Amino acid sequence: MLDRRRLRDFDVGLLLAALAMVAIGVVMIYSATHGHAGVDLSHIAQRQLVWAMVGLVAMVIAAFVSQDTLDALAPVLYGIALLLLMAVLVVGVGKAGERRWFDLGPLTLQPSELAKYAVIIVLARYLARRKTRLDRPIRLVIPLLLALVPAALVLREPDLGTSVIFLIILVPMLYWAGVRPFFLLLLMTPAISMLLALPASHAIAGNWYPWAIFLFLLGALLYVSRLFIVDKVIVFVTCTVTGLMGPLLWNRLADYQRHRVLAFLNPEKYRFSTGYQLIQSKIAVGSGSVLGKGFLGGTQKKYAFLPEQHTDFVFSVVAEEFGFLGCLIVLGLILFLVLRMFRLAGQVRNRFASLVIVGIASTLFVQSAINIGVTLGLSPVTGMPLPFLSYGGSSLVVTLASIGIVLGMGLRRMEY
Amino acid sequence: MAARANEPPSFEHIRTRSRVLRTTAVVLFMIMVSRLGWLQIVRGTDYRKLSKDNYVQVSTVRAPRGLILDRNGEVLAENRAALSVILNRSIARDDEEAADVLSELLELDREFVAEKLADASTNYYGGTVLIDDVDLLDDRDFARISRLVEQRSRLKGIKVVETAARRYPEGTLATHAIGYVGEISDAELADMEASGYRPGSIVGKSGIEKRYEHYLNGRNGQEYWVYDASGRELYEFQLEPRVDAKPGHNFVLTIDAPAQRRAEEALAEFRAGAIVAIEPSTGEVLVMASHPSPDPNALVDGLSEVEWSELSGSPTHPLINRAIQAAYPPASTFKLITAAAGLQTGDVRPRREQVICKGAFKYGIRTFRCWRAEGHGLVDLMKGIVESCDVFFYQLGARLGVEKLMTWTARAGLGRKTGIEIVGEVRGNVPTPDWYDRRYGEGKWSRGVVINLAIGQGELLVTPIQAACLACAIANEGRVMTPHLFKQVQTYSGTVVGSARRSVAYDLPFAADDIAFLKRAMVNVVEAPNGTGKQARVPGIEVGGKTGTAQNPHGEDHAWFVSFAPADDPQIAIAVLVENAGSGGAIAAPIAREVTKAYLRIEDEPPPVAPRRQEIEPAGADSDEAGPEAAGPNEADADETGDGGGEPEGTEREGTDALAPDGAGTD
Repeated sequence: MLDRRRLRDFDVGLLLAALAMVAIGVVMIYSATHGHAGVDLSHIAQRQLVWAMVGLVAMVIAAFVSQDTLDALAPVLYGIALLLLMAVLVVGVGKAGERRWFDLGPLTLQPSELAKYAVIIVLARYLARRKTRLDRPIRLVIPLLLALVPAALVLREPDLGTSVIFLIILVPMLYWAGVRPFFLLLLMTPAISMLLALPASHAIAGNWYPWAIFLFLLGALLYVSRLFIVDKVIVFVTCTVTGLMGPLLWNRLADYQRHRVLAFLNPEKYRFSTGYQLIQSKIAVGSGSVLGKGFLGGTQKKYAFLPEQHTDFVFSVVAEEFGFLGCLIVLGLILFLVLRMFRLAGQVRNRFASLVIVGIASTLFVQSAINIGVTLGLSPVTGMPLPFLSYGGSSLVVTLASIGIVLGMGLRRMEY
Repeated sequence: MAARANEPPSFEHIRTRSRVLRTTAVVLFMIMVSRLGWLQIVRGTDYRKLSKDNYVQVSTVRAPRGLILDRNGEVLAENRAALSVILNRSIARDDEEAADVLSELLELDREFVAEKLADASTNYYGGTVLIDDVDLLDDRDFARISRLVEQRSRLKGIKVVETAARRYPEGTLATHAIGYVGEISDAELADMEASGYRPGSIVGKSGIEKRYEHYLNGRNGQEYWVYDASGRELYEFQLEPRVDAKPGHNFVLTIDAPAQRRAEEALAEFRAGAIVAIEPSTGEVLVMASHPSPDPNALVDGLSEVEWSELSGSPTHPLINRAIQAAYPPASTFKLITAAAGLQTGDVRPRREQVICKGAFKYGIRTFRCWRAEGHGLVDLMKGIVESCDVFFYQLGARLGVEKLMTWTARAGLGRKTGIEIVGEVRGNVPTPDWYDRRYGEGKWSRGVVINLAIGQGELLVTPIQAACLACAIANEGRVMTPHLFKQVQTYSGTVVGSARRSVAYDLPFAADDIAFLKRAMVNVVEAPNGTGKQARVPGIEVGGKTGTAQNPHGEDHAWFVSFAPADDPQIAIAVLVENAGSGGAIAAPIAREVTKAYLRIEDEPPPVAPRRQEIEPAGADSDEAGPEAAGPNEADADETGDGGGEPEGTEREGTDALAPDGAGTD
């Protein structure tokens, strides 16, 4: 299976970058939980260290799994992921009524982390099949459903951020598989239609113009496009239906559910609950200046100003203690990992492997970008962990395992 | 890319695609790097200085609530300046000490303060208390606040801020329609926290204030202040732009304040009642009055527990909006629907069927009395409505039967909500045979109930707003527009954001000719010399109406009057209900007249009859109804009107009633 001659194909750079990120993560979590007045949080960094060990083992195991095995296992993995996502809705635990984790005594398991990779693998399998054709918009329905079903389950937890990730990964994977960019645009139109139709359902200031203009533009675009007439009609009808459903669903929601949707769509208006966190994060980042305050030198955590500094806001610790240069190193490592994986995806001969690598690289990239964007006040707060760095066993283990998969595929890059 | 030649054929564009994905990644990371440069290098020193010993806190600036105006722009709800005492809990960290000091300085119950503090601390986040503003008191007592300000060194983190409080300048005017505001309850908070509501937030509790909370509320602002380590406020934080509070939207209601005022003045003379007036062509609610009414300004200030239990436990139920939340037997106003049903089924035709009314009607072994003991003589449908002859409708009801009569009643819009936007509307009741079966058991009720139902007595229940919609329907050729209170919403600077859209609630299922006949009949009720609604006449215009006097087992009759005016181009349709007041013609009709005049801005001509009640009664006495002298012959009615099927409301009455003259309890 593993050819000795192929060992030169082993991507040492990728491995080292990943290991460096894990190390930085444990150190930053140690710092983030250090020196809290009155509370001893030292066990958190220790735990993360243990998880890192587990993750490394998972990485090695994953590297030895052949891509054919993974390909064959894809439906099983996907099935298991769906079952876990359904189970967590029943017996899961989380903050304030959420159902996100399984509570297994000493450890917790977040099935949505696992499900992300199951979706990548099953999508790759579907898109890599020889008989899969992607030359018409309606043929994108199956991959769309493959991502939409777990996304809907995660949305029920509710975990909007993670559920959006499922749909975002779909785009680069379809693109990589050869879908025309125009089709990708069409794929998004039903959702855009529903969003634009919402203002129309407004009891008082109902406004149908945005939706009407959208439908008109879509119609014009479809008219000049060179699609089959059936596809044009289906796309247009789907958009009309989702648009009309929008207000219907909207009116059936309870008041508080509407409040939640509005709060998500318009974070600027409803940002009071998160504004505080954001501003403390910005002060932490800004006060880091060029060189930072030094390891353990951060002050913002002293008053527990940043409640989630070891999880979602861990990047702000890097920024505060190691400054602009430290941030450049972390950003550089992430960028290196992502670019390296994209390059590898272009080199491997196996289409399935290539698609899996693109999926994994995109996940890493999108999650990092959103998490850091939040810390820097660039995007609304969604509660997304930063891969490698944020505290959390499930996230770290599956991230490392995914790196293992990529390393293994790199080793077999010449296999079909 | 050395292996390109070996790739499967579908990977043709891999080089371009790889470049696109990689470029996207690089561009996004460059954006993050520039942002980091901005925060850490350009602004770095400022942030560094700030983080040394000081810290920044966010405090909320409460947005003024939107105004509520009547259709002419008169202010019904506004804001007044108030003071709030705020405790910053990240500075005053000891809740116990804070509760001690605050309760002493503000002369508040210590438990009350402690509870407030405890409520605020439910907002834990990852085990850490988030910094919160806690409203402790809205300027109940300026002296206490001054003392607090003087002695604020005793407790760090105390701040007194200017804020806006709700005020209803017209007092109880249209309180049930407008509603009132109060501090958010735990249950409301659970639902609304995601939209930025906090413990201590002020929210609409009923009526328009509740229904359109989302618009009235505005957007709270945020200020960022720098504090030093000892909790002293230093200066406003410049790096983060403050967010100005944005006032809520102003609401223009369909209410006409002068008419509303006149309606409430008229009701104030009685124990309880309700008036609804609607513009028939649009469904705009011009008057929604319910008496008695709580004082909304007192409710805003917050009631003590004793005051609250007094209010909610009062036998007259001031918190109930009788216009939409109370249902009554419609009495003779219902004869309009009985007549329409008869016309529709062909059981009666205008000028064809005539009945001789000798003051009573025999059905089986029971005798049902007409309110006019000496009878009406020869009665056709027109005269039956105009003089409200019970015997005519007894026989029509007997011919129709329960099934048909109630089916048409339901189709005419009764028994279901009118769709007015404020919450709490009740359906009333249309007792179909199924309903009786469920209520009393199959076959355990007498079909004779129809005799009473035909004149609007028995288990049939109608809300004042339904009655007003019925008047609208007849005035508007059968078409009922959905009644609504909302007319227009504007931003605080006056830009119109949205206007009410008219929508058809339902159409009467009757032929246009029949509806026109009912309309003529209603005009005759008021304008004909022997009509029962003469008291509703308004000089200069033609008015249509129908009286009703609902029997009430617990006291005096309820007076009903439904009307519209002017008859040739109806601009207002009214339903007046006065509880335990007497007959519709004598009590309710004059009120409808007053409301009509107020809405149409018809001034009283100097000398003629002044609209006082005392003068009305003698005038009423020589009409066919509503005179004390007519009160005699009704002792024996209770048994006869009872239908034997249980104890329907409104079929029994006390013989001692002085005002109501009739037997079966209708005019």
